[in-house]
Amino acid sequence: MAVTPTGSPAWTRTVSHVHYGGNTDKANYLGRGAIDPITDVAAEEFSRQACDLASVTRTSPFAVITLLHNDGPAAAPTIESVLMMTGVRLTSYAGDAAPTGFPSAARNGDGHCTITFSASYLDDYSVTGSFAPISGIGTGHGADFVDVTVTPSGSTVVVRCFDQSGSPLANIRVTIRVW
Amino acid sequence: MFGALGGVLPLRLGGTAENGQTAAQHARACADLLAVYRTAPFASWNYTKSGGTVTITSYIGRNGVGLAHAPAANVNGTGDVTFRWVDASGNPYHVYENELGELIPFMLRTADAATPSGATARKATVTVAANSVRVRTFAGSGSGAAVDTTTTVEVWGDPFLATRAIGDYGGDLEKEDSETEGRAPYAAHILRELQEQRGTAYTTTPGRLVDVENVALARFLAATGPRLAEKLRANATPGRSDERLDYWRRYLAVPTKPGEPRWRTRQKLAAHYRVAKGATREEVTAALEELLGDIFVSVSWDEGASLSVPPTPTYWPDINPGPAASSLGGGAWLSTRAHLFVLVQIPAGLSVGEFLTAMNVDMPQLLDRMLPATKTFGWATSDGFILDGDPGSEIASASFLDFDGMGEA
Repeated sequence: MAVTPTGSPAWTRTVSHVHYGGNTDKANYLGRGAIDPITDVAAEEFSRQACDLASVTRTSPFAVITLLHNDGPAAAPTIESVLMMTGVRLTSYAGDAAPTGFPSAARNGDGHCTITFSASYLDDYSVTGSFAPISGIGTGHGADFVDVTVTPSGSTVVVRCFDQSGSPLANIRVTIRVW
Repeated sequence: MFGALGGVLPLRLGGTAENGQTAAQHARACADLLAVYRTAPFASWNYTKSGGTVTITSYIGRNGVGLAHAPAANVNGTGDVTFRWVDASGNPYHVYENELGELIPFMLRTADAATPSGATARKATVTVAANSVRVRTFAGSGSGAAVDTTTTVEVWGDPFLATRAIGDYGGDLEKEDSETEGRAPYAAHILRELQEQRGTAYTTTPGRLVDVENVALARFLAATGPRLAEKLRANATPGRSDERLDYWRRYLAVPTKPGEPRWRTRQKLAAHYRVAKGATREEVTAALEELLGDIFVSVSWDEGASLSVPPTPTYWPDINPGPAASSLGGGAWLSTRAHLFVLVQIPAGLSVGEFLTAMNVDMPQLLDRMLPATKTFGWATSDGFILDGDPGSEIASASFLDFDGMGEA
């Protein structure tokens, strides 16, 4: 019988140390601590591990995406790499032909695209967790000034690239982080 | 189970909220650790540039914390710096040593940068190469001219980003609480028995000499008694084997790759072990499930609606000639009834390399052995096409190798 993990996947941001077996009353069995620190893991050490894992799970980005806007000729952005909590894709793909499990991207205009995520994803044990972007940060690549904005909206984030005068920039490569 | 009586590694899953970790909790820890491992940066650092001088003020990386682990900075011009990891001689390197002393080759994948301090608006851009990142900083308003400033850089890139699996952390879809020591370790039962036997004249206070002797004896008896028997039982089949994995690998003659993780070897051996049970449909399906895990979708045989009417293409000289186009020549016969079709998918967490190894190396090794010589086999994703078509032009061009099938978005 397959094991069902406790709690919900990391990106639901609902995890606590309890889901990993942490407990504020955690104690070594019958109060007898580790004998040999090289071979034993004591309750105190395990508690720290559970607590720290919960803390980084709550703050880690859901996705780190590098994409290239295709504005001349106009086409869907090329997703060059995706590091997601649910999987890693290091082979590029066209934004309008996203592989299963990875976000799609549609061109709205010069340096302007919408990245669409699924409303839910499965973790490595096939447990479903809903996902809706809550924030994002972007950086442009290259030799010239780029101002990147990332706006979450529903299950999408909208990415826009501007020059220093506020005009849209075309054919820009950006890296965005999404929480 | 934690503590001197049960907490000696390996940790045995089970116990109560106060003194154990259950299989479900362990599974959550494995899944979440994997999730954050995938998106966590390789490194981040702060630097300040002033003219020809770049001062890295802090560095946090998977290769270590502190300036000793930071990349070297090379000034290209105003607001323009290239960071590259170099060895003591100044030569570029693509390998770092982790805390376990393992040499890890790495390649940067992407980066971002921001200008976190100062009263003036600033912007930064990045250009990423294999082991270097170039950062340019600009005035955030007005001219947008290049300027020197204080900047934070983050980079991503680790060879294991795409290949880490829950198995690397001891995770397994079939993980369960220990039936024997999940609630109370063997040593606890034996300790209680020893204390009873010795009677009230001997102290049971933890830390006293008699108690220490009792605990040591209890652990010794637990290790050489019930634990040894349980270990023997577990190692009797490859699916639960640990110390004897190498024995099973030799006995079943299953090839392994250099550096293959033990959980993957165990998975393959368990699948091959099923060969002994014969090539029944149930065993073939179960063996493929065991070998391929999340990759596996289904198996099927094209049998046709009637036994006396073989499905096309079937070609058997003199018996069932079938369409001439199906002849292989030389009197050979073929039938889709003798062909096993394995439908698979590529899970999001799996790299293309790992997927192709499973499909084109591991699965043929299993099925070549398991199926009778008359049976052939093949695999495909989705509708049977391995190459994906551009959805805009249907079959006009083969696009990225994403195993989504022809013409699917």
